[in-house]
Amino acid sequence: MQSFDLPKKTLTLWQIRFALAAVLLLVAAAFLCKLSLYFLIPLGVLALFFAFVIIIYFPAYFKSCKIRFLKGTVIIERGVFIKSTNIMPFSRMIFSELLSTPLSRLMGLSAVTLKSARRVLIIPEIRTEDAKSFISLITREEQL
Amino acid sequence: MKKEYRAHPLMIFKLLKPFLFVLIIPLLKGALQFLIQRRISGVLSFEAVCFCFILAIAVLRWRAFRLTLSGDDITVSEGVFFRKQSVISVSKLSSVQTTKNPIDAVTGAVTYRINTEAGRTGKTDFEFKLSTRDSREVSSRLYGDESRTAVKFSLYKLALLAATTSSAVTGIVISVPVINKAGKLLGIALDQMLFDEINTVSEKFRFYFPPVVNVITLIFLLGYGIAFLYSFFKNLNFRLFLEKDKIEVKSGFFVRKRTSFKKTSVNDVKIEQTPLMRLIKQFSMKVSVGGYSDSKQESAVIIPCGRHGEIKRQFSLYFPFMTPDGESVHASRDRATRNRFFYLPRLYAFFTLLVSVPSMFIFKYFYRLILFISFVVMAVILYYANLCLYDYRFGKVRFGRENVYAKSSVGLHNCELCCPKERIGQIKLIRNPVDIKRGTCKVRITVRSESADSIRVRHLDYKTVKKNVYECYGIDE
Repeated sequence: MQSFDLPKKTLTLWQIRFALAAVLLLVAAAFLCKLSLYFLIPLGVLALFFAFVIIIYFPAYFKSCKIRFLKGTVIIERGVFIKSTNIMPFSRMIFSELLSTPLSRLMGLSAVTLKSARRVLIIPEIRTEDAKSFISLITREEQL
Repeated sequence: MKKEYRAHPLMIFKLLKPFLFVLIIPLLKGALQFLIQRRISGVLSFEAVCFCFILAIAVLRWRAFRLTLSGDDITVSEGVFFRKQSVISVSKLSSVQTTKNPIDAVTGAVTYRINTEAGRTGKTDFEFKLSTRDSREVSSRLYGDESRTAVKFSLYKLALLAATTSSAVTGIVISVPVINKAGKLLGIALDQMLFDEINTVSEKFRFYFPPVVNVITLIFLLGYGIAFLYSFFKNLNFRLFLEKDKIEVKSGFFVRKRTSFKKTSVNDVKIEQTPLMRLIKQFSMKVSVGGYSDSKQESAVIIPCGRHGEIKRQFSLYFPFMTPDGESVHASRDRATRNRFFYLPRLYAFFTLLVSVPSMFIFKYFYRLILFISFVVMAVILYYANLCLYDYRFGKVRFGRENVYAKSSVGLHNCELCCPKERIGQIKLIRNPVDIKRGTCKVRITVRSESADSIRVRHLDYKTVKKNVYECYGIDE
């Protein structure tokens, strides 16, 4: 059985993404404060929410992610409040995808999606070389 | 051997298509206005900048596209900023389809679609433009060389297929957006003009039927006519190419389609008879292929029209591995069982009369309309009763060692469904209190596929069906 955890860079990547989205939303909300100071309350709540997600939730989430390979199956466990275990036999997999954005490419990371009939299993960003060898491994095992 | 293919330049226009009505056409209108009237609208320069930006993105996306065939894998790479690389095993392909419209024919391109059982129902998984030469090479590497032996069907049979499978609703759904968009482009109320014409014609029959009935009938007839023409031209040049393990279907007049799939990708085979086909004793044979392009039902027509015996012979020829086996289980041939089949039609007829007769006296002004609607509803119930009679006489199910076969009505069609037993997703045996008392059940068989073809056979002996299902799947009770 093989298993591995997500690299630390994945957490950094998602923190940066969420921070960028948070900045945009907070700037838009701050603009509304020009109309009325009451908008400061939802602005404050939003800022607290984003801070909670970036500082507390994401580290806990990515720490909980475990990827394991048993013979012919991939098992992904993750979750903070609600823990889920996704099991996908390679034989049920129809095709796989490697996804990357400009930011993830800068950090040498790519996400992998495994598609079966009606279901998609998403593996968060891992090192691009690992993602490629993972897809080759699945394709080889599936052909066996 | 690894080979890489690039997209045809026409793909740039395909990538610009989502912006056709919101940006490109307004920009062209603005440019024409400037050329003719020497007048620039306020947003023209902004539209021009947006268009240049979107065009640049489309060109970059076209350049970034790659299709790579290596050994047993296909890799599709697309995207500029958000890159996606999909790896598909050739054995997991459901079908590939090439489409050529008149513009493609002039520019030497084809629209190439790759389908699998994954992805959204009713949407093709991968769609792109290749040159004609590249598409032939790709198809040859995936499925072998093009078949030479074609099975052709006469125009009469294709017209019969179009006539018996078209529906007015389809025609209305196709034509309404076209009429609306054409009206907007030309700046005239085309839909209003058409509606006025329909009203004028329906006025001529107002002595025979209520005016609203005339209008609705005319709209439905027009819709049916459009659907017939659409279906006829879609299936024109229908050719079937058969090899030992591969099927290719070619059809179309303005837009030519060619679809290839392996026989092992076929989930089930259906022999269907629509209400109109019943009148002329014709049937059609269709196969259900997982993830079949953008077709909602995932069905590919194999034989458009033919007599039952001819269809059965060709089924045995094309799909010998799906020949039904096993004991046939049908409803028992006694009066009580036959009456059970007619229970619902009798109930519907009773309620129709219960509602319509008093309504004709209460709403005297709408007497003719209520009478007409009642006749239509009773005609439909009569047809439904005929279908129930068909289910009683011919409905059956067979659970064999290799295959499962069922014959019954599905909606308003008659249907025979045959599939390998491993393609079955679910078998449900349903018993209501009357079934429990009489020891019968309703069997619902659902095929394991995106669209989940389903058939149900009623009033079969519960113990016999259960025993056959257990034997078929090697289940020990």
